[in-house]
Amino acid sequence: MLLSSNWLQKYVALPETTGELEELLTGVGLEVESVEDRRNAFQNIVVGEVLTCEKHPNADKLSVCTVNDGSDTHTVVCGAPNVAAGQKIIFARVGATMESLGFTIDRRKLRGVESAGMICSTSELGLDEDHEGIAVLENAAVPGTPMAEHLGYDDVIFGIGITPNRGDALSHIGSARDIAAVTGNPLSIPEIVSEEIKDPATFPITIADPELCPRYSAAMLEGVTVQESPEWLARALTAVGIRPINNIVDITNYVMMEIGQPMHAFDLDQLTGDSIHVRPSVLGERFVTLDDEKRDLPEKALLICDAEKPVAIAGVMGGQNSAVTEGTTRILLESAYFQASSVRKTAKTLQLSTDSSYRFERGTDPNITVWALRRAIALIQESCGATLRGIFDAYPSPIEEREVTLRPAFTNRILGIDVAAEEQRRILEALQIRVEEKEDGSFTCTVPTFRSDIEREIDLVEEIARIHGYDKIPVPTRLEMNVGEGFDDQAFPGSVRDIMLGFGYDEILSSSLVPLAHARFDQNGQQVAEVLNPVSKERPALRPSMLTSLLEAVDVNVRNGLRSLRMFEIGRVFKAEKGGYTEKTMLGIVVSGPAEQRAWTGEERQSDFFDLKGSLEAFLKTLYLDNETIFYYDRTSTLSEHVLTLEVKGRYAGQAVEVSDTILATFDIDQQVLYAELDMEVLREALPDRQVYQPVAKYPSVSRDLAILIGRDVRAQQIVDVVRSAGAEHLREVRIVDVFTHDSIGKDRKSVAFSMMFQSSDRTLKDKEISSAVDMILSALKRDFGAELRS
Amino acid sequence: MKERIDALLAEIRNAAEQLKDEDTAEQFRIAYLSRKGGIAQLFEDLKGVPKEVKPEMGKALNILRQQTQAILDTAVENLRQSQKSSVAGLDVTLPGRAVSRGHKHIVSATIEEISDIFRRMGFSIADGPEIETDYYNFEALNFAADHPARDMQDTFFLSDSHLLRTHTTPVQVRLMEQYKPPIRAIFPGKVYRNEVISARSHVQFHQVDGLFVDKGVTFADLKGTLITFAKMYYGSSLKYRFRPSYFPFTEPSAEMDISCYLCGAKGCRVCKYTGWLEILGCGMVDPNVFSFVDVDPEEYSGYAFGIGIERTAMLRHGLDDIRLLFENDMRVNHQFN
Ligand SMILES: [Zn+2]
Repeated sequence: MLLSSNWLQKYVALPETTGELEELLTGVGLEVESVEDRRNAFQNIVVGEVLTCEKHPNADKLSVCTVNDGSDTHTVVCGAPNVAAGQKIIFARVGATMESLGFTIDRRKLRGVESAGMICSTSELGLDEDHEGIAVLENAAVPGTPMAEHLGYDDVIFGIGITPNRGDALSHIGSARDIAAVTGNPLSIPEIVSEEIKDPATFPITIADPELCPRYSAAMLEGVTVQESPEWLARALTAVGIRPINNIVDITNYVMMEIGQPMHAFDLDQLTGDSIHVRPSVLGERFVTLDDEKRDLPEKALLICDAEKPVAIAGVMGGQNSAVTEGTTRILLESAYFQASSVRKTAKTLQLSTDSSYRFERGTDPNITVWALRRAIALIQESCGATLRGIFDAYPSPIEEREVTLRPAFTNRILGIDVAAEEQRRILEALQIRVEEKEDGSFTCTVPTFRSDIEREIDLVEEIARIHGYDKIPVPTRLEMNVGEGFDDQAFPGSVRDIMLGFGYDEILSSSLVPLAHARFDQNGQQVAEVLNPVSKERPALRPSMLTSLLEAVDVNVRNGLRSLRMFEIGRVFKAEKGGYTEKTMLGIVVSGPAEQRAWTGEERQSDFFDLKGSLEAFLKTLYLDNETIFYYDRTSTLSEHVLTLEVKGRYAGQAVEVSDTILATFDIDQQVLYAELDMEVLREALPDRQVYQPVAKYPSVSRDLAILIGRDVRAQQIVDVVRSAGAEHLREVRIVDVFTHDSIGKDRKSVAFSMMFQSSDRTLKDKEISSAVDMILSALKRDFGAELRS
Repeated sequence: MKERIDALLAEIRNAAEQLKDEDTAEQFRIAYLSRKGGIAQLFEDLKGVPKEVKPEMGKALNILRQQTQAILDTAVENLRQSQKSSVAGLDVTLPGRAVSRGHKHIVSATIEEISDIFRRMGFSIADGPEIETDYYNFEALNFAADHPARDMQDTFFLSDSHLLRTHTTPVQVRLMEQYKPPIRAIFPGKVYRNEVISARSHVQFHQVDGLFVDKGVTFADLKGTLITFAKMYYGSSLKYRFRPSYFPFTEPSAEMDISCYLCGAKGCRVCKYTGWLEILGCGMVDPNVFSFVDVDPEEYSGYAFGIGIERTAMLRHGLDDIRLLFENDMRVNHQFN
């Protein structure tokens, strides 16, 4: 909202400087977002008078004029067809900067004649879009008057950001009230004279639902002349960004900007039957608004109707069918109070926000409607001398002022200050809240109806804080620092992040919202959670796994030529379930492209599944979970044929896969991608409380290597499991050291070599013991897989 | 005999000149110092020389042997030295073996940095679901239905009752439901807004919200804590101001500005020529919020605040397009550790 400092000045004395006023407004919560000091506008541009005007000797379309700028006479070449001697015009002197045109006026020759200045149009001043020749000013304009002064630009305009709770401040009087409270200067509100109505008309108003429309006031005026607004009015509105239309519409806007009451004027001759009915719309109704739009009305939108038809959408916009035009002579002025949420619903559904709906949504004052009418009537009569035929007011159950109790001690308890009860009282009274002190020292505060936001004691505390000044609330010099409370301290994601960073993985953060197609291929038969109303339609699904996010990141980087990728993301995944949704925090990991870059130390090596698995193993070790984890081969995933599933302490903890080509093709990725996901909650719950020291072995260990021939379909894990369970008491470690397939050893067989480590905690092992242990292992392998010792 | 010794010495000296690697050194050793070498041969022949010159010749032969050994040792040592100093031996200017290092995402790094400061001030860290209900996201935070305050946050709806949280503030309701005061915690996390993605807005971003509820918590405490935070994060010389604002869940509400560190508060495009940067919203917990979670506002009071992470990180690191944060282009991410 724009506030004019000249306008504000009518109601309260302002601080001396613009800076002080700016600070004051921001300080009370009316945040100043912009300041435009118009007194500095149009430097070197003045009112001029065309003394002579002759055709240019060398150009048909140009004129050569002499212009009096109040102090000197200049020769000016002008291209406008409408320039003529005797006109008062806008004259830009040499040196004037034409901001909207982006240049500075210079002396220059035009077809052989030197021109010293420029005669301007209003559009060249950036005032409007009108391009029809130069502006001709009224004859009374005095040459030499600075243009800012001539246009009434002796004003400073503040752009104010008003928070949704401050509907009361959406006007000059509303904002002036806060200024008065801070400065202590009195607030003066224009006096309203109630004239006697000589020939009262009757005009019934019926309200179908008084809850949606608690009050509807209107005034009938006859003998109105619709014309251009007087200069002061047009200026005042232009200053606050409202385009003048005609005196009637302008006056309704002026009153709205003055007191905050939106008003509307109907052409009474266009209304059928002298009556107004306020009713909710029914399904399927259509209505053409003032802006010439045919609108489908939602059900239960509040409508203002005459005897036959709707003539306005309550609080939002009037109708085309009853607009005030040049020929209008009888008008009905509306000044109503509509329920805020009803106006908001209608405006939202129609996607139509107006100055009027904006104010009604934020709450207007039900008890100002008649004041506003009288104010508008006085202005209209001043402008064109109309006759008032009546003020009609339907207000079935008047809304009364609220009483709220404030304990001055409570204010100080919440704010941490010590403001005397007397000062608290002064602040409240300055805000037009009436205060009555009770015996126990508490205040009974009567809150005027324009402050619909003040309902409770705490709201009054805020008023005192605002006006007293947040800056005056002291800052404690000592901070009380107790330790955090007992609930879960989420340090775990941080340590997981640090581990992955240490392993050389880059952290990414990506969009949780993904395309539906991407969500489907890794949903594993679960229902995807979907957003109903996304503004961007391409990404309506909540990711069911981390895969999509990571593949998008692989794609982005491969396209940029960065192929060697190791990335991870910690984030939520989601699914829809009967009657609700579930989400969990996952760690997603990808490995793709070269694991080692080509360098003098060696050739490039592409990453494979075992780079990923190695990271997982090291990761679990770092969390002390390596002994709690079981890896097993699985085929149930939709992501790949080959899936390694992880179980931690008997719970499913995640999987690792070589991503299938079909999925990679969806992303246009042309290199292999290894992906793993781990359930952070399962890991966190499995974490050991503490790591316990194991005594270091005192007796030497012995290593034995064994190479066997075994069926190709036997997996390494199966071999290791059998070796471990063969009954060799002192076996500590089994490590696969070589896997080799070649037709020379048989088409269905492979050679697997593994190294075993034996150790006892209480003695040195004898050669014989180890040999018999190896024999046990070998025979178990023979029994279970038909394995043979490789000779 | 004497002549033969001298001749062999000359030959040995000559041969020593030709030593260029380990192979020629070995040949040298075999030719002169082995059991069948030239010197051994002369010792053999010594048997036949006259008795009177025998001791003298024997002594000369021993010296020859020692000399020859010394010649060989020196030559081998020289060979070793020259090999070591050759370029092919160790070129320290070659690049080292690559060690891969991961880069922390700038948003995580910012959250961690902010969280660490609050942790030092005694705040715990909590989180809640990203799919929230209308109750936790709005109703219990005192957003009335059909109130313009709801326009402040464009919402993604999943159903009539479920939505993507628009702020991390619902966590404060969950905490107060579950724990009795005192409660002092921050809640970092991802939040969503239903907007068109552009340089200035995204459908997701991160927040760190905070809450402190106890007996006797005042607005002055709020100021003290947040000023301490701002000084620790932005530097102790900054200027700050608190100005009234509006949030449905706090009353009184405020926004905290710090002097623009980009232009030294002189005014620039980023601070919209005001010299101030808005860094967070805050206020005293509204009694209506307390009533939803059964905390007695006569006994307890509290403050709450919220910091937008992306905005903080972007201002600090000079990024001007929020989309850069979620594209995961490593040319961007690798610039930050
Ligand atoms: Zn700045």
